[in-house]
Amino acid sequence: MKTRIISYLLYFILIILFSCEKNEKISSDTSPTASLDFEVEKLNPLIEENKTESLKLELNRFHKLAEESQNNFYLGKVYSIKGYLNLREYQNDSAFYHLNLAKRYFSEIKDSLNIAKSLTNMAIIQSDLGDYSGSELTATEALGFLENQSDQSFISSVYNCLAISSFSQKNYEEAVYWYKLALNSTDDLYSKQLYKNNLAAAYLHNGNYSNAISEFISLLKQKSLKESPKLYSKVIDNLAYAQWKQNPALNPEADLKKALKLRESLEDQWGLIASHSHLSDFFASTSKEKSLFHAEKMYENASRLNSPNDKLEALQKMIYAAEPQKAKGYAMLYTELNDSLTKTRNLSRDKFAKIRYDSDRNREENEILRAETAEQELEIERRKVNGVILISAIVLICGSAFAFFRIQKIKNQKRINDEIYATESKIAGKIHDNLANNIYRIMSDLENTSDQNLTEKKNELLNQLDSVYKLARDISRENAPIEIGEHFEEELLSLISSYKNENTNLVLMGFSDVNWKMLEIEKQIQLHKVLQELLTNMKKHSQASLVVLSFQSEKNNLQIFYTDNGIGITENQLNTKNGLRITENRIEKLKGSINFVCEPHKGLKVNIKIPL
Amino acid sequence: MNPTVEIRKIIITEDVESISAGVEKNLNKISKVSVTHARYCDDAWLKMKKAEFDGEPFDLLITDLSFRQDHRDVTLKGGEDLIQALRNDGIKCKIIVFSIEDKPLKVQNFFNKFGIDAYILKGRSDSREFVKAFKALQSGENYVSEEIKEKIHSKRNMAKVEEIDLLIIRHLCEGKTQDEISFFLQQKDIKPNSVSTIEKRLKSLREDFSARTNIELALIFKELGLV
Repeated sequence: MKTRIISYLLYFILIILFSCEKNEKISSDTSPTASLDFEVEKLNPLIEENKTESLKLELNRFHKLAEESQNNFYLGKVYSIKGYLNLREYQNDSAFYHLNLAKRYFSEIKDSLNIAKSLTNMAIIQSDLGDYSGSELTATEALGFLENQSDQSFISSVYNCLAISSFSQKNYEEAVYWYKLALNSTDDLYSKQLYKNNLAAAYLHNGNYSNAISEFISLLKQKSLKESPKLYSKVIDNLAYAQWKQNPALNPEADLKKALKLRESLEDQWGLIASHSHLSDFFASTSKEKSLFHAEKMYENASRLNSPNDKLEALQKMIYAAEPQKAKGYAMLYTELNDSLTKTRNLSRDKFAKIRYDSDRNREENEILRAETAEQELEIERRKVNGVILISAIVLICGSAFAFFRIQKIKNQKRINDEIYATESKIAGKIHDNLANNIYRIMSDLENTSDQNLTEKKNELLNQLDSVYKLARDISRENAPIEIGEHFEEELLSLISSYKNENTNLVLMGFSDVNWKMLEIEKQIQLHKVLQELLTNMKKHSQASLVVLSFQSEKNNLQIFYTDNGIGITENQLNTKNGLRITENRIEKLKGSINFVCEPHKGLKVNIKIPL
Repeated sequence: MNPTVEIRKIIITEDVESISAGVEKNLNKISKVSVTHARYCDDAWLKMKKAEFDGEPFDLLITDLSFRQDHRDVTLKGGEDLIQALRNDGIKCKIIVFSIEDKPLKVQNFFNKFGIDAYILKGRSDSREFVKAFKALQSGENYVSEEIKEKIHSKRNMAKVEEIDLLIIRHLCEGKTQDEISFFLQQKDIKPNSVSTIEKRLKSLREDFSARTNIELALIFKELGLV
């Protein structure tokens, strides 16, 4: 089933290599590399014009030059072009090997972008050969190198690769997720069309035919699609197939054949597999002969491209369509192939791991030459396991860190909301009690004053208004932002002294010994509010004539003792007094402690401790 | 007292017209002056700049601090911005700040940072205060509203108990005489330690704690848990 997708991978590799040829320029041009720079320029047109043979010749020459100059960047370049050439000739192993070498050289010079490009191509190869989990690992590694990169132009192909791995493992929902990411992360028209086709194919396989069809149709409406004949044929093929799947009464033969013809003329091997697969499916119920014909064609192409999955699928169709005698033979072939497929998968997985490992080893050859093969094998296993453990650990740590911060944030937000709410209700209460009531009193006073008395009354009214004005000012002042930092000591002193009057005396102890400037701003603000709260409570309820505030800086703490000679409060009052309750929240927030010593008629004592 | 500083040309920056009209009325009662009004700090600044330019600068600026924001975009958002801008431009006219802001710290800041000449708190008695402030300015003095002065005063005169006071009270509680305490302090090399200082400190503590006798003072300290 994966055939309809895979052929695009190869395209993508070309695109990546091209763009990397076109865009890459190393910025510091020293004289020896400058000549290499000139040489590499010669390669570009050869790549673009598909002149494989002359490219090979030029590349060998260039390789020697790069080797002589020991320039990691150009060596990396050489190997990525070699990998590209291998891919063109369907030599996946060598391609993987060369790309891995290229990655090594790019790693030497920490060229993240090229590392990511190499890794992406490697991931694509792994996916092509059925090593999906390996491919996912490699692609994820590539994503890591792409983070914080300004050039995000090919991050979409990494997403595409991940999508294909999910697709191939029949995890279509996951595939849809990655395809959407891929779609959104590219501006390239062709890539967009490609991903759209793949996305639609994922819908198709998920049984979501209507979504699939609407995507295919919207693709066909794009005129530029015809400029990419392979993709064009793909979309025609897929659309016909999807429509038939949705409504088996339709006859898609003409469209399917049209796509087939196009692909034959393009010599699109992967595309042909898909076409034959679809045609075989279509004829399965009407003409066994035709169905078998296409299934055999599919098998042929799959064998040429060495795609075991497609071979298996073709065989399945052949078993279904062929004469019983022949079918038996196919069935045997199928089991054999299926058995060996698992083996091949494991093998190819190991091969990739080995290639990557080998190149690591080459670098440290001198040091580890004596290491025994058995140990090396063990090392491979260990690396694999370590890799898995490392990644799971990272995922776990990131996950729990994320969860932790999220929870903290929610908690914090809630605390802030509570505080805002409490403050707001306090202000509202004050406006009601102090302002609205008083203004109403003045109004009704004025209402009931006869005109003759008005002049006499004027002074009294003015005095009343003045008191309301002062109340309003007090409310504003209590909630105004305070001076923090340098002048905090002054600010706090003003606050405390403002509660002093003829009935109440305030006494300070150790106030100026505290290094107020060094107190963190958050602590300054909260402490100011807490003291304000305590003193306001004192003024309103305590009837105290004497208040002592004593400050002591210790090594890690600031201790504040509040004590007055008022009527004190009961435990019960403490719990119902909104203002005092907020002080607890505030101090808690600073990771400090606040203790109220409630002894009725013996004054109030409060101990506050704030960590410094 | 003969006025030594002539104040004739005055500009009032205030966004509430009734207030600025009230101020003008007040000023006219005090002295013969010409008054210009500005509703925005930007306008005030322009007018003052122009007056400087014409060689007929204003003698006095009376400005509010906070201005309500309206449809007009302003550069100088309040009185502080205006004063800052004037001082930056080297305009040295006399300044009276007329505001409801009563934080001693802020008020002091205006005197220290910008060298303003008077600070009058908006309120019931501000017309009387204007008279006083104007006279102070004419004789080259500064003026601060009584209410703020009180606040600054009470801040400066906060009763403070120090370590040595606690020591003295502690010994008092043990029944020692002032001579004995003085002797003890001398031995420990704690200064000041003379009998007269101890007597002075105890007196001020008695005042702060409203105690008639030293014994009562010691008792209060004990009750408050200070010793």
